[in-house]
Amino acid sequence: MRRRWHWFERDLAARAGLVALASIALLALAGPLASPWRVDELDWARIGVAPGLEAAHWFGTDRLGRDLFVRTLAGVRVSLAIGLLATLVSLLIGVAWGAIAGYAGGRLEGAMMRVVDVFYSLPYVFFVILLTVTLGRSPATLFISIGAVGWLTMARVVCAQTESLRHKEFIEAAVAAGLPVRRILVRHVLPNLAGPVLVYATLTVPGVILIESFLSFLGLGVQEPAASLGNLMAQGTAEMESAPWMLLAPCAFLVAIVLALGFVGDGLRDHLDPRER
Amino acid sequence: MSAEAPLLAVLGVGVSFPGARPPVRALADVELRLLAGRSLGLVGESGAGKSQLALAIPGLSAPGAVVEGSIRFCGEELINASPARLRALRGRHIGFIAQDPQAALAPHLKVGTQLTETLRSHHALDARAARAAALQMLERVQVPAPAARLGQYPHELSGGLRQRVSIAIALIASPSLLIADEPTTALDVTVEAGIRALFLKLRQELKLALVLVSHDLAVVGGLCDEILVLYAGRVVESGPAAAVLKDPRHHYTAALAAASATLEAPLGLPLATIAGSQPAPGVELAGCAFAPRCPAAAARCHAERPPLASVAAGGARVACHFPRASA
Amino acid sequence: MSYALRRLLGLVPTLFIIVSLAFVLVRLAPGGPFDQEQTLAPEIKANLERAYGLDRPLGEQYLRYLGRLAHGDLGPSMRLRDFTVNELIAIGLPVSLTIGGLALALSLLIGLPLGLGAALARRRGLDRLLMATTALGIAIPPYVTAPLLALVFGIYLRWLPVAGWEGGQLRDLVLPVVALALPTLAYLARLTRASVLEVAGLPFVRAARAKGLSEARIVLVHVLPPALGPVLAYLGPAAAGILAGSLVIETVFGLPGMGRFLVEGALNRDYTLVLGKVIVYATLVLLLNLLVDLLRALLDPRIRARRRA
Repeated sequence: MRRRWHWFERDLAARAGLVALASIALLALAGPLASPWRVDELDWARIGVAPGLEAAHWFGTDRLGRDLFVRTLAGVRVSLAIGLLATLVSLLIGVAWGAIAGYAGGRLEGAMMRVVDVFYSLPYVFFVILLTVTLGRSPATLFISIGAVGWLTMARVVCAQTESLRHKEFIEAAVAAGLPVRRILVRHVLPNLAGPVLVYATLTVPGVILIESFLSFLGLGVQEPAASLGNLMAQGTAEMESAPWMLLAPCAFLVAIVLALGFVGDGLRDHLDPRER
Repeated sequence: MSAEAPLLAVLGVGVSFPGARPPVRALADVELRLLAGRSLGLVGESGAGKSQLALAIPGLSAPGAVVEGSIRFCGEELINASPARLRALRGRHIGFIAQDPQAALAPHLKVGTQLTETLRSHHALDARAARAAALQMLERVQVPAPAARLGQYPHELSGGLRQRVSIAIALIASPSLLIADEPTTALDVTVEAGIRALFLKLRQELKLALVLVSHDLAVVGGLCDEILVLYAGRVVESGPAAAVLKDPRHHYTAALAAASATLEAPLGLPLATIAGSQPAPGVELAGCAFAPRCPAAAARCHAERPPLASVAAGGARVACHFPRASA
Repeated sequence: MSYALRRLLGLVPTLFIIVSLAFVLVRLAPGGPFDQEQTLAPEIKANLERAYGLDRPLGEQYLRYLGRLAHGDLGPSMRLRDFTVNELIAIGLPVSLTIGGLALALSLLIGLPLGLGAALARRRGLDRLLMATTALGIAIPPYVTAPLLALVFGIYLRWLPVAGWEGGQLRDLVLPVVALALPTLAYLARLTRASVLEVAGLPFVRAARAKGLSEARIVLVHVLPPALGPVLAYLGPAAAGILAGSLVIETVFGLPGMGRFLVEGALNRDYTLVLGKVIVYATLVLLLNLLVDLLRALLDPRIRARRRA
């Protein structure tokens, strides 16, 4: 195991990405403790002030006098939480779907992967908009929307990987020994999927974060007064002529998170993914 | 040795990949001479460096390769020749046939285009004249229905036809030297026999000099005047084909000859194999590279690399401290 | 040509499935477009629902919708009552097609040469610089670049208008098109680079070199056409991505495109508007995918052969 992680000491981008991620997460969790302000607290005396040291509004305030340092970090927490949670969900669906399809093979695999292809070809935003008509604006809509696309790549990767595993000797030995399918899947197939699954889970997180902020930006995701990077950016865009700081802080955090996750994911992929890309 | 100036003279050539991890020396200290119209077979296991040599001659070594020594073609030094000069020689004076005809033809270009572009990049020819030359060349390599082939794509041809087309492409500008890298390896046995017959015919008709790369001594023996045996990037034996085949002096050549599948081999007997394997790429042994597998190896073989030295009249040379006795 | 026609007809069942799914999805929920208007008297609301046919059974509504759709009629908008959906689309589609089409063209015109250049300058400075910038370009979505571009070029430098659409003048187009194109452009550049490098390592390129062809001919005739296959294949998803991005771009720059009223329509249950626009978007994506498929067949004789069979 130690040897497997040796590359990490040489991969500067991946290491920088991990450090940046850890710092952002730490800031998002601990930062608000340093500020005297709460997420929805209004500072009537200082509405729309620029970033500065005055009254500890380090990132300035918005049109209602809410502190943007605290709100931006709240947005980071929301984005990271949704990113991790939705990735976990899509990981469960994707791994189960892909492993079953890949292990079954034949017509079932064809049918299951066809479903994945159809979902892939749908422009998902429009699917989300249709879903919003049905379910209204709610966290459920957000989760279903993200879940509908998040698991697809994972299912494809896992399916291909399982298919190649199925023909390996140790699996065939397990089959020949008469082990039940479920046991073979859980005991022999899944542990060998860990590498690629970890890689694509890492790469799913930024994708999910982008979808969430996109939907929130359009007004279809996280709703006021809760803060997310997407809706903070939407408000910032509306006010950018007079209060550009409202736009810049959430933008910077979003870009930093996505880039950092991308670096870590690429590093993992280059070194852990047995499929040579 | 003949006093005639050789068409191709290779001296002290080495090919290495210093950027690889570990750095690899694919070829070291290779020496060969080829007269116009004569043919030379390069023989060895995969990894012996024969393809590296075939590629180095027309300057086609992979990016990252460092080629040293001297390669003279018609007296002209090719190592460090300008890219433009090498381009002018390739195709026009030095033809090249790659191992896999499936992979060596561009899948998206018609056979006719691939034939004529060589001609047209070297000669000012109009499309009609180039087409006529292409037709003639396809006939010469015995492609049936040549006119129809010009409009076809490679995937529409059989493996044997593709290799004939590759040969036609390599020969269309009438080069004086043809380098063929395992031209029959990817083909069926029956198709292979046809291609070998074609090589014999073309050599006679066109007065071609030929460098033929093969892992099979029998193939080379039928087509070549001389043989050069490579092992782990070095020449271990060279000489007239008949002598090397009949009376191999190096223990590796002898083993290779025994392992070579010939149609005369009695059925039911297992083919001889050579135990062990070549040193891994990047591993440099102090002594003879074959010593670990050699039945006749002594302590000296492991410590000291034998030089390539003449062992008989007629130009046979061998790199071995204890060569096999002459039969 | 007959092949193209056959493929075009093949879109009809796909479109039918999309329309049906969308219809079901939109009408699954209880409530209607007129529920949220508290000031509406019950009898007026009933009248409205009758006028729009919402009092009929769902199956009948579906059939009537399909019938009208067959004649190209998407029905009246339920919330913007002075307009039919056709009229709203007629206003928005040219705008969206203009910025979407220009963005796609820009990504191709710049992304392809950039990727090719990076591949040729492999691992030297230019290549590394391009790869670093494109990594950034992909990671930053258009809803981040759009307001940032507007901020810099519209507000600080005052070179271009921050928003607006005065008949589609060039100065109004620049920022939206650039913001929309950047991620696709970056991705296309990377894809082209990877694809060119992959093809350049194939044996037939060495064979071309062995023929003594000029480097220009090798790159343009031997390497580029097969390398474009994966790049073209990406154009379908790229177009879908640009359409999705155009929703945000139109919001940020206040453009009267297809995306306008769509989000509001979804929130207000403007069935006909949402259905109509989604159908038009889906048709666009399907048509573009078809076009890409046909183009790929032009480039690759093997695909053509498979299709004839």
